[in-house]
Amino acid sequence: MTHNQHRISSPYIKPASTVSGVMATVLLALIPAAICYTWFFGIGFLINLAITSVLGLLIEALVMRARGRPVFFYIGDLSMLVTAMLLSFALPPGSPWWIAASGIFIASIFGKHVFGGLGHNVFNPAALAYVSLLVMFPIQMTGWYLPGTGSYAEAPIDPLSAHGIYTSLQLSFPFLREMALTPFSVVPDGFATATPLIEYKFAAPARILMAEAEGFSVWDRQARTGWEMLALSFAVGGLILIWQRVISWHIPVTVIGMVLLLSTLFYQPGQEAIVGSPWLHLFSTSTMIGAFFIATDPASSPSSATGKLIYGVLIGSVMYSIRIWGSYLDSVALAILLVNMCSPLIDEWTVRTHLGRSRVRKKSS
Amino acid sequence: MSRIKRSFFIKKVIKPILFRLARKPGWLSPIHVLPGGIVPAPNKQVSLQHKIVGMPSTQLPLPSELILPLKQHQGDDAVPVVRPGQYVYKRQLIAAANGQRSVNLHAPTSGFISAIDYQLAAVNTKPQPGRPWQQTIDPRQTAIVLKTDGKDLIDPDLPLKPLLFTHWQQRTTDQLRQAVFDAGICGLGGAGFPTAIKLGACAIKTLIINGAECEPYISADEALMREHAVEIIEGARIIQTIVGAQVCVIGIEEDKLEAIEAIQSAIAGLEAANHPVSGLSVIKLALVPAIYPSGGEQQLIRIITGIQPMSGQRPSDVGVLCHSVATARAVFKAITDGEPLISRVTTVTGSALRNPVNVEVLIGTPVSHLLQFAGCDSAALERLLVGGPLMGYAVDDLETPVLKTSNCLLAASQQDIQSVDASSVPHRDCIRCDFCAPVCPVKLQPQTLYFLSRHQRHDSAVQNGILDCIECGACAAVCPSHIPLVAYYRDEKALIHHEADSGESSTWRALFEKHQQRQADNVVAVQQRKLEKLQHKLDSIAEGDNPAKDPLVESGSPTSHKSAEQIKREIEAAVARTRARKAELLSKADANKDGGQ
Repeated sequence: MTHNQHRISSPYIKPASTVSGVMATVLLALIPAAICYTWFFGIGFLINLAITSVLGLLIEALVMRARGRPVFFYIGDLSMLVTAMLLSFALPPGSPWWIAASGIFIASIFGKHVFGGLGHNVFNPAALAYVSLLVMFPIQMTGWYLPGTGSYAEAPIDPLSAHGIYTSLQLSFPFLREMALTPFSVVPDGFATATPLIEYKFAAPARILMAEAEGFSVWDRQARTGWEMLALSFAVGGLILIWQRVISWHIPVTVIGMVLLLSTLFYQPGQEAIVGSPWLHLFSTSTMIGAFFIATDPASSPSSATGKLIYGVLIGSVMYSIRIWGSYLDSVALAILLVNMCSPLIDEWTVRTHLGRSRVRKKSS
Repeated sequence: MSRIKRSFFIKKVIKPILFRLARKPGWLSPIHVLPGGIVPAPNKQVSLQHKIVGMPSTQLPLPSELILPLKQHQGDDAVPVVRPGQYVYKRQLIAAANGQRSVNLHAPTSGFISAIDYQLAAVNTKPQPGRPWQQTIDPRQTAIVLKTDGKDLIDPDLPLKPLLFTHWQQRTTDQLRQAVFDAGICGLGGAGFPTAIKLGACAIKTLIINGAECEPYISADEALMREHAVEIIEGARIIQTIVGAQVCVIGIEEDKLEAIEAIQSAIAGLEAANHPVSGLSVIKLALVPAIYPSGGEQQLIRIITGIQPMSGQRPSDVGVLCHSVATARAVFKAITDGEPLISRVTTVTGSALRNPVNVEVLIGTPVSHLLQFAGCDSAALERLLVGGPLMGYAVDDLETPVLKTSNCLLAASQQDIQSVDASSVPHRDCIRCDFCAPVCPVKLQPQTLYFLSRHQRHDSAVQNGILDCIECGACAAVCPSHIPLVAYYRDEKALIHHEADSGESSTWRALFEKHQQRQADNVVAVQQRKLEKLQHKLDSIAEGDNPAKDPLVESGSPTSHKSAEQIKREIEAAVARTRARKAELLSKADANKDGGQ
């Protein structure tokens, strides 16, 4: 059956929600995080968002046309915008434009349409695109070139000042740098620009200890506190989604709970540089966006409540394991992709027992 | 939708518990939680502004013609016993039941029979065997057409039954059940199951009278409870006597305040009158949360008793019987008044009408007559539904008659229902959002069933319980992709039944037989329990003082004939034993009664 036929049959009542409504709720729930991201890291995020959205809609339209489906009807479900937004959050704000472009291409074609479109995808498109980019362009994807955080010696530049915006544009569109009269020299700095967790793992705990010895608090500066504020705004958005019943509580609670549990179990005071504190695991990394927005993608997660609990526990433990014992930079997307593969099997195992199938219930009175 | 679902847990679980603890009237009997359900906007008040309009009356004259289909119920067609041109009186039998699983049809008013083989237009173009009695009238459906003469005469020669049945308590249960059968009563809640068959069930412990009319727009039962509460209670008492139920519970949705008050005062009146029916407990009132579909038979039984019949079982197999308030009233009228089922209360509502109202309408009245009465704005009329917006069916032909099962006519405009134009747009793909599973009252997984139905994987569909789907439409109502889920299920069920009948697929057939075997096993287990209960009951009766009761064992359950020979013999032996016991009991009971008089 190539086309979805509508048949005249009960129920005739007006449906309570629409797909575009659901997607719009997700977009609205992401707005606090978008504001936060732009506030702390400059307009690089908005540039990425613009590129991914426009290109994503274009690709979607072309694919729908090629598949012989009504183009505007299917674009109207807004799911592409959600994917574009989530992908933009995952991309480094200062990455060149072609990173975002190839990312949305992978997300749309290989993440979604090769499986049959929205609802049929096995993997979360945004997570798939992010991991593919990480493998293909490791340097661009891990060096976070941020305006205003060149090094500690310089005074912090406001990323939303004219200078910061200009820098962001130059970072996203490298050809501007050659055209510009006064090229801005970008100083890539590992410590300043990677997420704290990556730093804890790879970049010499000695440097952190050194910084602390100099009286510098890691959480003082904008780009630092930015991570926590961002995680909190994702959590706020996720709670909005749960409140609006767009997602159920099962996956976020189990993912966060599992990360919290493991990081508490393995926590060693004095060894934060190696294993990280529970706070760091929850709020200084992408745990929140993963738990609330990526892992809860309905198409690639199991459908039953029990299945969702299993799925969340798996994601949480894989996430923590990759972080501590694995050698990949960001564990969230990878963990979700791995567990995405399991979700059909989880679905198979956790079939709901409907009423009348189980044993006769005893009368309670 | 989010707002609807958010109030759920509070409404379903916390509120009943709190109210029970606070000892609020009506909340005293414990209720159980129904899984799933939705809360659509009720829209019932518009049709409750006025009292029930009678027919014929000055406001609502008789239509010139009544169209009376021979099959308005579940079971075999009735057989016409009149000829064209014949004059019939009101209440006269015009089509006789064809065996026990059929119901009689009576003339709703006096007039001449103009045809007995009128071919009724099909309601749905595609016959859908899932619920044939509700979803469609078979295209070959024949009907008797009655030309009314406007005099509304009752046959003067007809013996007046009211005298006969004034003191119904003195009649035996067999006589009472026969009277119900003669009156041609079938379930008025929608399914149209012959009531006399239901009343023949044995070992019934709980009788539930269903006043939980959960579907939006429909207010017929509510209006009935407001205005005829005493008759309903009396009818419930009659049914309780017939089946010998120890407990009778009337389940009403909590938001029907006036109906609750009326029923409460009727129960109080009954207690005050102190009817001389021994051995029967008082009628209890149970308020249930106003959630769709808490008024479904199985759902209400689950809410009130906590009992869940297994797949393939009838509620009577687990000792529960459920009748709607409209059926209770019809039984009351048949027993005390001798009036067969010739009219019913129907809601005529919808935004396309100027005067939505509840009408006590004669069976067979063309829909157009009622729409005209209620002031139908044909420009605004988007679609005419018989039944509510969730489980009703659309009719195109305005000459379609009101049936015994038609509880509502919904002249829907665009603000009531999904626009007709939407049917020309393809629906979106399933995004697996899982909104549907939490609202399923049978705890099915609707999205899985959708994929299986769509790809016609019959075996998996049966394993996932598609045959237990009650087609309430809650899943489709919350589906953001607007997938007509129920239509898919109905098609799939039709295919499953079709293939099982024609034997097209041997693997599927084996699975279906397995399913039936399981159902049969259930039935066997139930029969066993039933017999044990019966034994217990007989023992207690043999000891002394219980009133006469008819413990007829029904061995003809539809699935039992499929079971293995040995099981069959066992049942038959058991039934024979029970029958012998019954005869003994009856003679004893008669002897007791004679002695008493």
